[in-house]
Amino acid sequence: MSFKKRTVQLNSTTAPGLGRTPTQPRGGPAAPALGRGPPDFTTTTPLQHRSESHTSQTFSILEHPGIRPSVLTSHPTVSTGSNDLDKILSHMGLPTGSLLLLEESGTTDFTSVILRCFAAQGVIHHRSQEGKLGDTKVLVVGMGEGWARDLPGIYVDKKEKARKRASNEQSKVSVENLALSGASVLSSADRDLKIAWRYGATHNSITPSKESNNMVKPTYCDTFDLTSRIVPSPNSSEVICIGPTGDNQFFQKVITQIKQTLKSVPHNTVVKVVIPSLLHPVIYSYESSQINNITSFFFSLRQLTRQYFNQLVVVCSCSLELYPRESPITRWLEHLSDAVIQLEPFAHKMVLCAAPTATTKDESKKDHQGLVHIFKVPGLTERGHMVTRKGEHAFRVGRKQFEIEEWSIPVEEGEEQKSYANKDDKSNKANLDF
Amino acid sequence: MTAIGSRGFPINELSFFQVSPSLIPSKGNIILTTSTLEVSPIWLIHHIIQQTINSDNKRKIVLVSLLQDKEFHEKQLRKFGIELKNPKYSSKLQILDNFSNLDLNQNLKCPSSFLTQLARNISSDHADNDGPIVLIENLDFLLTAASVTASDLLYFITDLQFSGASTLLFCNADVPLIMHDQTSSSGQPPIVDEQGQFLFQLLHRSVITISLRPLKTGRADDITGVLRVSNGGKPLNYAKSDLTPSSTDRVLEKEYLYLLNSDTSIRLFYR
Repeated sequence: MSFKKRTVQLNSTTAPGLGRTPTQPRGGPAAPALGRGPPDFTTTTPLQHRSESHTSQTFSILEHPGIRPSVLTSHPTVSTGSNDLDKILSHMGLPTGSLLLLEESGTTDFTSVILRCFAAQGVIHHRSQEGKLGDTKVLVVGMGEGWARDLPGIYVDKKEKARKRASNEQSKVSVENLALSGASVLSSADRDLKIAWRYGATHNSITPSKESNNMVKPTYCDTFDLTSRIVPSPNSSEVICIGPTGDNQFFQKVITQIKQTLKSVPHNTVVKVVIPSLLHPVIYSYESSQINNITSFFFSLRQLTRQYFNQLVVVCSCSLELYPRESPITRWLEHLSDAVIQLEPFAHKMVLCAAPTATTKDESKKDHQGLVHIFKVPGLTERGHMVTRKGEHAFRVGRKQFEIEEWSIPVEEGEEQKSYANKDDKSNKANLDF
Repeated sequence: MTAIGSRGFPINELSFFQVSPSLIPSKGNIILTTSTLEVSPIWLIHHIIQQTINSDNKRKIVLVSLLQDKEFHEKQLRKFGIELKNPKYSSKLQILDNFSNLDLNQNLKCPSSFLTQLARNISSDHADNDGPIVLIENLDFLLTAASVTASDLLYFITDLQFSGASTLLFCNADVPLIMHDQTSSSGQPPIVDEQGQFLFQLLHRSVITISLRPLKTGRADDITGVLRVSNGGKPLNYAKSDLTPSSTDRVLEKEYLYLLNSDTSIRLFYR
């Protein structure tokens, strides 16, 4: 009862379709309770250099199609482009004003899948909101226009496509349709309803589920078809590429470009910065990879994320082959990031070994391609919580998704059953002997 | 795990000394806290501030922040019951935000002038005999800047000691930051030497060293990490008796397991 009341009030005063509206953008772990508290927040004056229209800014940013309040702290979050990655970040997304560092060991480039989905999501949000409030800007650091052209397009289910086509055809007026209209012929929607009724899914139970779908924002995270390309390919205003200059002024150029973009856009525009293959020797000069230059670049990024904590998200990937986790450079980058996640792909030989057993045992259980280690989670680690999980998750790149699942060393089921069966036989014999 | 059986005790009962209930070293002394990537010492900083501000200590507290902005500290301190809008607290606690406006390339071209300015900011309006209580987080980050050396930072700390400040330093001691990697044949950057040297010297200068480490067995739901309090290189009652809380006082050397709850309450368990 009280819950219903609350929803009504919030909907009427603030964003339509949003059930929860946080009063505090950077709450702590206990914030879900805080967020619903009395609006004490309005009496306290906003903090200094952050914009004065603090509360109104938060409200309008939540109307953005790609922003959802975090389930943990109710801080606005954006999707990383992979549902499962959003989940293991604990916020069901990446909170704005944070910096995600994706590390990858080995010579593969799985992180680029995540980065591409992240950027493509930004382009799609930009297209849906172009010219309106709640725009999205994507900046790509160190890559040319070619990278932007390779972004994946939205996944379209074949069955759904066929169904759409069929319904389109049906709606067209044809002789057949006219002839049948006299008889009591049900439209496809009605027929579906009848089936639904038969299986107990009545009209009443369908409507609330639709509503709840609205609440979680269907536009928040789309499913991508990794084999396709985004159509039409993004132009230079949709994805701003900051190409490599090859000298040590590059980092300064990037920082000024990000600053300019943030200053030029309205307060409710999300700016996504993508930095693929950081410190790759082809893109970054020798001077850039010196520890003082790279840490000062990351430090400036960190300053920007704190200054524009409602707008800026940075996702960065780097290979651990050149700078292993045991090197001080990587460790300082990890200290300066808000979230650190490592992908450790399985060796090729191991994948070959695992493949036949997986297919014979369980068709639905596809083999994983590597492990996922979590080292830092935004909001939690900086408050002192220990979130490191090594080897508890595994990833797989499918056609649609970058999937991450909980993982543990599988138990050999066959052997166990055999030994149990043997034991049973023996005990049975013993019983017979008695 | 022996700790699970006992219910532990709240963090308020934590003390570093056998007699004195204070968490602050006497004038001119240093407590060094080291931590790693997995376990941030932020909660300990805020807990020490809360305990000191609520005690009848008249000394001013200065928190020097290098990797977090002022808003973050204000928000976290609010959870510890310290509202900085309240003049009762704001007169006692000053947060020096060196994060938001620091330009590593410009400000640290001449590290000594930057650090003297910082020392001046810290000890400004503490003309009285009691020096301030200074808490500095991530001071070692400055070592990543090319021009800053360990001795620069050590001189800065000596300055603070001479001004009568009780200093609590919170530094990173991840193995890759302080130890040479044995496996790689290529030369390590000098940063490792600087950081190692810095921490090693501090270890000798401090009266207490505290280390925060994750459990060796990995993440656990009921334990966040290990808190170890041990003697530093400098004896507590080395100086004249008026400089220490009590000349007979000793460091309470102990190892605890600690648990951070989501409501920021912290419990400790004996190990």
